[in-house]
Amino acid sequence: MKWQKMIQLKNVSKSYDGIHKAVDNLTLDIRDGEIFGFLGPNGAGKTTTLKLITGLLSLDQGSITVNGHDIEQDPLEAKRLFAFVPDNPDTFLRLKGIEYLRFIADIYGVDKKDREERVRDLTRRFGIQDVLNQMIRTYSHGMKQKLILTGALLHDPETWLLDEPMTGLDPASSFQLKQLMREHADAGKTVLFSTHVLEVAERVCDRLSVIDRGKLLFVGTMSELKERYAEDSSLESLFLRLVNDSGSEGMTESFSL
Amino acid sequence: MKQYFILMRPLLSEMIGSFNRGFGLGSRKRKKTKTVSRGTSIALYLFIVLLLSFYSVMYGIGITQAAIKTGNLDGFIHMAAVGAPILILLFGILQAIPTLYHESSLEILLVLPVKPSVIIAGKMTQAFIPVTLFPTLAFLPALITHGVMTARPWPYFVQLVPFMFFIMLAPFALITILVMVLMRYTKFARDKDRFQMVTSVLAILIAIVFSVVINMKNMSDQIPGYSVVAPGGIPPFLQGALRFLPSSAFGVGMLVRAGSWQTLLYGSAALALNAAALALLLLLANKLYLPGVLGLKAGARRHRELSPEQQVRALTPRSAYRAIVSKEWKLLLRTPAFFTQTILGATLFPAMMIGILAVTLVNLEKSALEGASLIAMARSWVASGLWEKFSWLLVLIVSGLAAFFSGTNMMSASSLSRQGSLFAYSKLMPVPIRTQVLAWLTPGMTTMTLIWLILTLGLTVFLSASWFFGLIVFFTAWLNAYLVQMTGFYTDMVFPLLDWTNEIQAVKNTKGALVTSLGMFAYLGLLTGFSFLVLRLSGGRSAVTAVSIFLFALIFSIWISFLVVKRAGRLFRAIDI
Repeated sequence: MKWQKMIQLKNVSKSYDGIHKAVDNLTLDIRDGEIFGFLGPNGAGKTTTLKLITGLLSLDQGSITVNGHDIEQDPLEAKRLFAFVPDNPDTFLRLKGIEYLRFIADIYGVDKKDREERVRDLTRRFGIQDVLNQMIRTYSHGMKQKLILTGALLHDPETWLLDEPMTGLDPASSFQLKQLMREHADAGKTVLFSTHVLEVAERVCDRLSVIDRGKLLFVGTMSELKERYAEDSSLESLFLRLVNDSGSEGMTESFSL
Repeated sequence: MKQYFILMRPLLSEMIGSFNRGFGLGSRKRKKTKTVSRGTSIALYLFIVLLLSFYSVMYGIGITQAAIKTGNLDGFIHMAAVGAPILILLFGILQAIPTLYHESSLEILLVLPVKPSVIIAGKMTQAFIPVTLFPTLAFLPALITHGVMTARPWPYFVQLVPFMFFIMLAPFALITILVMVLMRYTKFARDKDRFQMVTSVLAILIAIVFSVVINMKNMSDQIPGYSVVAPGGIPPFLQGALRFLPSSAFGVGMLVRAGSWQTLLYGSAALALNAAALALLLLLANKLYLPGVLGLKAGARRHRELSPEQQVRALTPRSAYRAIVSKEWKLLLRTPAFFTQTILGATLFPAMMIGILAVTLVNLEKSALEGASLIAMARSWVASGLWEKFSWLLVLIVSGLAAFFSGTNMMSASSLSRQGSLFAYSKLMPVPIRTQVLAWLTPGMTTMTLIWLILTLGLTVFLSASWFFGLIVFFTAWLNAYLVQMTGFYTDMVFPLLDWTNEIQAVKNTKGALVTSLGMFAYLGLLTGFSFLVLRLSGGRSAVTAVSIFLFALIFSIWISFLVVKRAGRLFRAIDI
């Protein structure tokens, strides 16, 4: 089977202070129809990489394309193709839920029929249909997360970029999200998400990558990771070995599950 | 006590830090992080302190000269003793609520192994210090000047700092206790946004009424406040006010009798009163503050669920531009700090000035100075066409007024900083940056246009002027207001403050706000100088001068618009978030 490369990162580097690299010469292909997990200890560069892909941060070096559209040269076309869910859902706090969804639908030009159907369907799936008339700042963390997810999926984007999407979600909503991710990938589209929860990555991801101190340590499937270390361990123990091998200090503390 | 000082370090840093960040002195995530020297920071503080002190000294000289002539040497001390607490009461209610109830640091502090009373004392100090800065800078240098000019004895100067402290602490304690009681026991104040919005509006309205009343009383003043040093002793309104401000009354005694042993009595009384006020504040704060904060709801009122039909209606499609404009208006109207610093200020300030002008004119009509009526003279000046001979003066006055009013309108100057963390969404949206910038500027420009449309119509009708007169007034005003707004916005684009923790920082502590509110004075000076230069060079030709003044503003407006468009094109690249 010939894979289409939905997201391509070529020799991407980023430094905040001009000295230390948050992302160091990263090259990565993320394909159509897969759920791709992005793993790494705290401060490894996961969020920075996601922000680079979305254009929130500018590149120091290299290039990123989303379905062939360069994020720096052709940002508007690239942005139409993805939805990004940040790790912090505290946003648009003084809009009502329904106003936020209308705003997002307007920005992405979702037509009347589609926005009505998708708002109805997604809010029901996440169980937030009753709170849409309330201001977002009155929502709990989980409810905010669900609303941001609903907004992100409203324009039915080709690619989902999710930064720690399970944080704050109740088990039912977490299950719904995983199911939505699977359906999306099965429809030939792409999901890229970062997570600390290794069990989720192990169960959900078609492929995964491990990053530490901005450098890519591994890309492949779960079975390829096991082959590399010639053992049938959990992702947790393989992950710890992989990162320890790379010499990350304090990693064990940040991943003591 | 040790814990208090340890705690004050981060709290003061937070207070000063937000100011620093606002003025672009802190580090921000940019392509190349620039470290700004401590010297720059100190120089900026020093500049602001010197500027306000300069105005204070000049005012002190003016009023003391008048006092020496009239022989009423103590009037100014009385005025300071009443003025500073009034400022504390007004600024206190505007500052105490956001500092005590909106700062997120409280949640972090509460989990520390520190006594709650220490945290409370720390937070009270954090609220008190910024409130006292302006009254101190407004009155202290003037009082020193006054003391030197009137050759006061040395205890006068020694007691000036305690005097300022005593006249401000007790009123602050009073207003803070009131805020805490309301927060703790009234249902209305549980919604902090609503409470802040209503109290801010009331405080500003009180300030306006106070200004109008003072203006009515001091109609004939050669300099503002002259009546307090007029012959005949201390005016009754100051004496009356001091009855309600015992700490100020004792403070006045401290300074007026500085040469006598009685000053010690007054000083002790002021100290005792303030100590009692502080003790009461801390006692009540221990009971009210933390339960008050923890009992607050984030505006959670019961909302009816949307019916399917309502939901469909609420999702009606709009263009991206209209969606962003609508979002901007909603955030401006629903965020207390944004509302009071932008929409309320922009609309109330011109209304206040017109109110004062109207009162002045009506009073002048009543007093009928030498049988002349200013209103009748103005109408006749316009109706006879005489104004065309002095069209340059009309253009200059309207330009000045427009720039001045625009300088009080922070809507455009805070357009980018107000976005805060939402700027990340702006970068994510598949909407061209220029469309977004246009949408951000729309509320400010719309408000400004409406204000001048109403003012022009009112003026034209009132003076029974021609449509030509109205057009000149409107376009001149609009152009100058636009120039000030765009200059503020451009500054905000260059020095945005996006990582604010308290909304008030986004509209007050930015370079854009500084340039809009203070830079306007520099522009007025420049414009006036230019006008007189052209008038002289053109041999007194009014039309040439008027057109030159208009072109002056037009050229600057085109230039700043060009800079804004250019900057907007690379805004997303320039700011990492």
